Amino acid sequence: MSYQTILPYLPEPISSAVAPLLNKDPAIEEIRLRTGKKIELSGPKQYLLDVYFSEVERASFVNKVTKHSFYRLEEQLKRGYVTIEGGHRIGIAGQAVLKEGIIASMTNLSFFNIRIAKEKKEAATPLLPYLYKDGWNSTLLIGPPRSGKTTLLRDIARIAGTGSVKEKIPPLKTSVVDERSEIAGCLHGVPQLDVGTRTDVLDACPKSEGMMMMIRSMSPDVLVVDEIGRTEDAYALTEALNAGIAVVATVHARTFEEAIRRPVIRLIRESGLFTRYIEVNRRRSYTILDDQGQAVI
Amino acid sequence: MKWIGAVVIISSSFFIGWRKSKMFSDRVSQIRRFETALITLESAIAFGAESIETTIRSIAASTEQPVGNVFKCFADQLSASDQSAGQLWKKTLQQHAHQLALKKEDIQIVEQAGHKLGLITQEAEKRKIKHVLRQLEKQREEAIAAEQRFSGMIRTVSVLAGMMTAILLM
Repeated sequence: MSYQTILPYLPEPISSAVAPLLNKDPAIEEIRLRTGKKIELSGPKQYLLDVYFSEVERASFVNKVTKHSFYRLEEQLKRGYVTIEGGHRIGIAGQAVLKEGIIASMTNLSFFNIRIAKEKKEAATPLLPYLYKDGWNSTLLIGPPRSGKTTLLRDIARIAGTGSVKEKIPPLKTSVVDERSEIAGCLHGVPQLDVGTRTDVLDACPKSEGMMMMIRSMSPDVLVVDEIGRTEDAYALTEALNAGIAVVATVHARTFEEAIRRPVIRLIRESGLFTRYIEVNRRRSYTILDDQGQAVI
Repeated sequence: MKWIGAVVIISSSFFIGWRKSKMFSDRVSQIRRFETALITLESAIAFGAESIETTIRSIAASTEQPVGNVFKCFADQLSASDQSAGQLWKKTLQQHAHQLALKKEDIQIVEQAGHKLGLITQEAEKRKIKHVLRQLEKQREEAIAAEQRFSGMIRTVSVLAGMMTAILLM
């Protein structure tokens, strides 16, 4: 069960209230904890439990999440989330501490959104005819939060690294740059989720530097990276794509049109580096687009 | 018989004096061990890769007893309890204070190292540990001075007191 690694983090009364529901409804995607409020579980269905998240439980939860070591997670907290074992991501809100107008840290952490990482093997199988043809197409997965982009990306990494006898895809050297530890769910550098047998993972490393490091050190055939969008990502992506490496990446947007409104994505699209765009929506249906953004299916 | 009694009295008073003087040297060495442990903790926090529990476990393994035992107990409590690291550090020190040769004020200074431990930023942790180390350094200098002044004197006085008691009783 993918949620098992979350339970030890939760205070006992909450854990025992939440566990049966998670077991009953595997589609639950998020557990929301708000100090002084009822626990909420959301997914396709929404559940509001009759259990409150108290102030004492909040302090205990923070101690467990930070492992009594707030300093280790400063960088992650500045971005507003922490990744735990199993690749589950805990979104955090509290009070931002600013230094010269820039977020220096977070304090009074009071609101938490635990996003349950789901490993869905074969999720990418229906898309393989559009992703692989005599080699992997450089592909950009476009979708809003909770649309299953990362789940899809993880399965693509798994198929690229392991190969598929049925689809006649050979196992290739695959590199995953996992800035937020969501794709491979690494614990002490070892992936907890299946990302393929010929796959190397660079965990918790900023994407642009990470992509360059993997290109130089691991000579990948396929490079997998989550949530691109910053200016510096464009340079690393161009390097990879011009070096003959197939890149599979994701970006936050509802549609192709929305994605190319971002200067970085527009630049990448204009250079024709991606040969395939796939729109993913929350109903788990896909729109396949060619390199010009025209719907293929 | 009288001679045997005299030897017992003198050796007992020598033993008491030796124990008392050892307290002075133990205090110095235990302050040093806490200083070394805090320097290791500060380095680990500056590097930022390990959790406090992992660091404390490695400190416990490399620190001589009884100080090593304080860190081992603290690490065990960190993994088992929901309380904050600061509360657990204070509790651990109170539980082990009787095994240490430290004075009350030394314990209070070491206790400060646990204040908001694991709840503040890297920079704040480093500043706090540096402050505690400076205070411990002063305590160590004072402990060395006390050892030099009283340790030998206590041993001599205790032997002499034992001899005097033996002579008076003979």
